[in-house]
Amino acid sequence: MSLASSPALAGLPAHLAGCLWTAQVGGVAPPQAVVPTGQAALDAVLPGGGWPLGGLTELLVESDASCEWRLLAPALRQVAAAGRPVLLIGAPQEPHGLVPELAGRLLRVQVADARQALWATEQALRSGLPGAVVVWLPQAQLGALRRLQAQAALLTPGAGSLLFAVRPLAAGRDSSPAPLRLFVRPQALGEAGQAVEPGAPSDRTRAAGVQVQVLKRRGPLLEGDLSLVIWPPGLAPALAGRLGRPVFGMQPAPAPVPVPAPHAVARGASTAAAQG
Amino acid sequence: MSHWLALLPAADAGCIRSLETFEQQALAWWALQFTPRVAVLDEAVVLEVASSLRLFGGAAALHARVAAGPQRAAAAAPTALAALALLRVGRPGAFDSEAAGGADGPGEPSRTGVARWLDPLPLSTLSAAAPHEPTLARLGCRTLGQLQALPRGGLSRRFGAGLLRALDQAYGRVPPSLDWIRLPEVFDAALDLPGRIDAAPALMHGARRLLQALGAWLAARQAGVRSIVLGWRHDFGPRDAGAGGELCIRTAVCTRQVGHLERLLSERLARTTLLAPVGVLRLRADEIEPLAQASAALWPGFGTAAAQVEQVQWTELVERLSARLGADRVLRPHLQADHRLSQQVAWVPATREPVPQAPAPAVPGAVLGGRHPHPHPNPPGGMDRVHPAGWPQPAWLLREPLALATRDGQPLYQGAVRLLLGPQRIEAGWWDGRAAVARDYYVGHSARAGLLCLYRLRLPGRGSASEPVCDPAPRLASHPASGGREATWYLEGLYG
Repeated sequence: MSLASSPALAGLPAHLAGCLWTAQVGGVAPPQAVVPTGQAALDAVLPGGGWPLGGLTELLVESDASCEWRLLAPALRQVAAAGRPVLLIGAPQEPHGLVPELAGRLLRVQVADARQALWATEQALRSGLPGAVVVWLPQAQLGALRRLQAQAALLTPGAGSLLFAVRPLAAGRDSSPAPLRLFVRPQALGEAGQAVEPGAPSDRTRAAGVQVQVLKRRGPLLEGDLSLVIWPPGLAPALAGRLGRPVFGMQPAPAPVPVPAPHAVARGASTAAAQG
Repeated sequence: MSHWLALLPAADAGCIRSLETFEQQALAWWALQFTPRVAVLDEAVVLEVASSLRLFGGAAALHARVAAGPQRAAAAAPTALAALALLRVGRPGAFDSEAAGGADGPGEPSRTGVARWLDPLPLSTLSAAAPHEPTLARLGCRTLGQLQALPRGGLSRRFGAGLLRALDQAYGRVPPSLDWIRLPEVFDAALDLPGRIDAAPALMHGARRLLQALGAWLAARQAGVRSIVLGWRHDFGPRDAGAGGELCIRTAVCTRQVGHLERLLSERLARTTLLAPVGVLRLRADEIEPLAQASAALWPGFGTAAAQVEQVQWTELVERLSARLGADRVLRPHLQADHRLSQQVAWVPATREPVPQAPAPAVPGAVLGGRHPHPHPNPPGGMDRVHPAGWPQPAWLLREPLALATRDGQPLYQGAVRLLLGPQRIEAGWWDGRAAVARDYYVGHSARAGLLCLYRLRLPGRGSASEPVCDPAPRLASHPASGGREATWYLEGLYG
């Protein structure tokens, strides 16, 4: 709904109309500095059309390192291409995938507990240097998150940084000062042997599916989930093209059978193993 | 027309003499940024700034900058002794434009103004007249104006030529003779602490003062420091605690930022324990290098100031994080050309610069099968080892490959794992002994865990002539179902 439709506000000059946000259904917050997420469907529902700069974004995931990296990768790539550093604080496993593209600009910080993770994030934000900070917080207090949000919001809009906090699903029940909160889950694959209908996304496509539910944003509540198909890099050309047919021309190879022993004593054991 | 400023160093009430001397010296070094003509006079620091007025944009602007400094009080006058006298009595003289009364304009003192200010001041404000004050009071002479009106011959015969000379210098008839301070070649300052300190973090208060003096010294010498040593001497401690201790702070980039050194020092002191109470602190600057401040360029965009500032900020952030978390917890990736997934990225501490480059061995024909979907472009940021493209790289690597249980030949990881892609045989590292790998890689999907990167060991063929090449898998031997088939699936990475 555009502002021009309201008669009282139609007479506003253009620069004022852009600053005004009316809390109506379908209206989303005025544009702020954002980095595009790389997924058009997600950009359409996020205020401003991307990840907000200068604010805390919470990603609530079922288990660490399940699918948040896929979601963040395009934005991190853009930030590194712009020449700004990327910090990973408290990553659950060793990062491997995007490392060659981010190599000169990546810093990985290992922490022992949540207090150290929060301290390191605050120091990074205070220096004003990083373009993106991703911090994994299995536990975090409300006061600490508020401090992070205040710190991120202090930076000027042009030089702000992306701040992502990856937290467990259970944290969705608690309140949080973050202006944007998303549930991120991998899409469940169908049972083995289920018939694939023509036109339905194949098993292989759904293997790369990510379900995103916007829990909180600056704007009206979004009902329902977003199903996105995000391919890990390198897998898309291999898996997306073929429907139902294995690629590289081979089935998953069967387990190799041990060579039967030449003498009688071991033959019984080897044939039993071959059958079992 | 000379313009003198007198500054009184800030010192706590009742502090010891050596601390006052130290504060005075630190203030004098700080004042060197305004003019090279700085001298220590009695308990204050005087500086002559007439030749610097134009550089700093006028007397008012200069006074505003000086007023923001660490001194307790300041005064301005046309002569040094007059400024000192005004400081002692607590009047700012020409320093404050309101006190100037408007007759002399904002902050520009004049010769007649000196007499106007000095005449009503008591005799104790002039150091040469203070010992004769009782005698002069009996003569009925209580202020400097009355003293000046006395006959000169009689004054010099009665009280000595020193008094007459001081009076002439105060009223501007004779130029003062002062020793301008000279900056020492090395910075090695000691500070007597007012009380004995037992806990290391409490040393920070004294260390901060020493660091501020260091900052003033570096600014005056146009230099930066790379390593500083903070030492302390024990006072009435047990004999086996030793005479003292020290700790050394090093930075990667030559810096003049006292705040950064303060933060690093406070992190180190928080982890230090003192063996005995400490009475004396000492700061020494070890490695000094000339450091030019970044200057603005004439045309925008041509200066390298922004890049230098960013590099310094980056180094400071890395050092701050390493100081608290440990240098081996703040890591940067270093790419190596290798087909083995675990060897492709080496994580080195970020404080170690430059990053050592691993030699890239030539591995003929080790990769069998598989296609190269698209070559990776050269990564930005200067890393010149290109990640070898081949098998789609997982987003996360487990620290150690996890052996998976199997059921009917299918691996299990949070549910049954369906194999989608593969196999890709990777054999590499045969020169490396224990780190050699011979694996068949697959991409699998698990209902709860998403896309996985698994591998299976190449089983040794029985009766084969050569020694089998297999991974030294630590879990293989202890796996309960350690038959030939069940224990050979391993999870190496997750496609997050």
